[in-house]
Amino acid sequence: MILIMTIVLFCIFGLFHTIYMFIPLYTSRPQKQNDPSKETGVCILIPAYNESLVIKNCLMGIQNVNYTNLEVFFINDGSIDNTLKILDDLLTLKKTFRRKLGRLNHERVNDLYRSQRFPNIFVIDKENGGKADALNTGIEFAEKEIIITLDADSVLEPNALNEMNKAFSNNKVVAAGGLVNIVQGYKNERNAFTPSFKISGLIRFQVVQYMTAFYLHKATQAKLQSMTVIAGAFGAFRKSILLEAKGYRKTVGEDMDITLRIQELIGTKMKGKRIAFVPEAVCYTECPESFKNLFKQRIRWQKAFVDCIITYRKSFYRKMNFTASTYLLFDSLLLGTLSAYSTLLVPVVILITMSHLKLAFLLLTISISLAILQNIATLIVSRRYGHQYEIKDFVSLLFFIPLEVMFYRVTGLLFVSIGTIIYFFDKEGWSRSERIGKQIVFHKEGNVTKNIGG
Amino acid sequence: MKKYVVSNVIFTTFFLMIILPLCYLLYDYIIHYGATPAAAKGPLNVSDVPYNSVNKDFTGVEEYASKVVVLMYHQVIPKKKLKKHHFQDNGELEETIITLENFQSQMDYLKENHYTVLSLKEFELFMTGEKRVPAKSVLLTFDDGFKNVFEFAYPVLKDHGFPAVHFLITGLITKENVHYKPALHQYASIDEVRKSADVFDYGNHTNMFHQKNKNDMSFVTAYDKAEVKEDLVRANEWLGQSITFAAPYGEYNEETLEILQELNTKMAFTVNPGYAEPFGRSLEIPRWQVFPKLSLDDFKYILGE
Repeated sequence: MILIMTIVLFCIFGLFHTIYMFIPLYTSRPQKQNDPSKETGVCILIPAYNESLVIKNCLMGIQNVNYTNLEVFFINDGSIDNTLKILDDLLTLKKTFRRKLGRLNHERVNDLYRSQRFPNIFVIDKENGGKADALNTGIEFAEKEIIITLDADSVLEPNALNEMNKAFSNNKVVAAGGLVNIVQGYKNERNAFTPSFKISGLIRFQVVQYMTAFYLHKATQAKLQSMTVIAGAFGAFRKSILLEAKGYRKTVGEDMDITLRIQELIGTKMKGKRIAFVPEAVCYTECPESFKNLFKQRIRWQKAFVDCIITYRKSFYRKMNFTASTYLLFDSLLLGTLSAYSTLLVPVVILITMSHLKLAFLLLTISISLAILQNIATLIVSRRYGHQYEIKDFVSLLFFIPLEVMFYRVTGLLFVSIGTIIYFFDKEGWSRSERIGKQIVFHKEGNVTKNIGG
Repeated sequence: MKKYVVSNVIFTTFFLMIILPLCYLLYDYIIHYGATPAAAKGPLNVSDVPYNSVNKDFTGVEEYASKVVVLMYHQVIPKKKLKKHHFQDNGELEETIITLENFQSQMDYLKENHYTVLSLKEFELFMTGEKRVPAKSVLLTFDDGFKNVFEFAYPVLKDHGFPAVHFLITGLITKENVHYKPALHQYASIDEVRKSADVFDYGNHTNMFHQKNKNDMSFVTAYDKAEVKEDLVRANEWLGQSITFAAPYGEYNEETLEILQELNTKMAFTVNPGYAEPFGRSLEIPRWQVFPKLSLDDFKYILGE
């Protein structure tokens, strides 16, 4: 009985992973470059709670963006450090006034400031209310059509918004996820910001994982119209859909929550609309550098996931479309969460009973092969989008892959298992990851000008 | 679009080269799981298995037998190790299974009441009328070659000094030794067959024809004579030397008997109750099946008391 279940689970697992390799390989194509579509108005919302370490980096990224029809809102969510002061120093803030939409509720806003140096950058100073609340406040003030949500530790690549804009030129697209890369996986050289693999194992693991998750998994999900999370680090939405969804809900994982709500809308009121994934629109974010912080982050993600599954349990297959529901229930829940326990237990059981050694070995070989092949597919696909490693980095990456598969993935399973259990005891928990504040210097784009305010 | 074709094709080929063989292995494992863990390829080596030709001297016995009881067993499993699948839907034990406890008490009874348990050789000579055997004589037979018989009944028989005949489905005897698992339907390994030759004489229970077709007919009666013969020959070759046969499910017909004659089989057993008498039909020797529900009194009744 257990044996049959294992094999069935394993076959589903194999199927999903094969799909994840071949759909991106055969369908992912960079958007055409010769498409100077009209710039739609974009409003970037950056919730900031005690972000003094990284806020400067984030601002720098925004100043480098090649986009003119742009508004930026830093939302100081009642920080108790000097975030607001740093913003003032950098932007020279002056109080201003703007009408709100009046459609979403949020905590009291103390003041709205406008930068005197860059007139399209605003700072909202409000009472603390959490990330969802901060985003809702930002939506209230935003006047542009497209809303970009950005984490304070995320730095936009100069052309990211232009690529996002191309995706939104398609009327069917109501929301889109950008590609999130790990900033520690890059190095600043004299004239370029290039991928590098000279980093600690823990970060390597996350770099590889992010790449696989975005270039393969998200690309596949977008293709099959089953995106379930638009990463909070870099997401784009039409303002109308956010209002339709009644804004963000205060929860552990507001990014997954809003994505699922949009999926519900697509499945009911707004048939034919879709959520896109735009791998050319890149942002860089920091990843935890210590095991402890990684653990915290992953536990938080898993809690967010479990929370969403429970919240939306009645919507699957009814309000949400077939592929999205299937993906979420089978891949994320069944394989990602439930089978994590069995996967962790299988080696123990096998060692105790010493039966089915051959089968265990066979399944292990298949999963390792699949994982390695998947990593290779990631490299092939990411290369098409210009994510290219130098030869020596490439070699060390190849050597790292088996290690990643055998060691780090098991650790990942551990996080998932523990996170699920912890959810049922403590639904709140840590709200964000540690901040590091690594400098990014863009030199590659020769034509980057400080177009903000110009 | 075209510029990705090369890398895609290379990757796909690479993928198939690695994954397909692995999938095949997995498929192979699943297909073979539960059936037999790879049948023993080589035959039973005759030199390893001395023909159990015990031929005791029965002269001077007060009373000689006019008929002999042949008992038929299939599986012997200790009570503790019985699993759900050993029982029928009505909660009764499968008819082919008796508990080790019952088996032990039956053997004890035979021992205490001075029964003579015959070897195959002695029984053969009794049937041909060349030898007289004591009045209280029995022949013990087992069908199929289940692992549990080797695991549990063999030590009891050896303890009591009782020989027995074991009819093997030779195609199901496995190549490798595995641990006994009550949850599985296990057959003995070739090693176990060899090691237990001091108690068992082995008989032919077909090579792979212990099966039924769609119409619930035993292969032995459903297939052409030539095919049945080929299967029996294969089993005989595997056993090396076999003078005896038992038909699966007790189903046989005239053709089967012809084949047995052609193969020079000395004795063949049925599953019909009755007693073996000298000069009787040696290819249709009746046997008493020992059912799980049989009480010791029923057992005595079968023994003719």
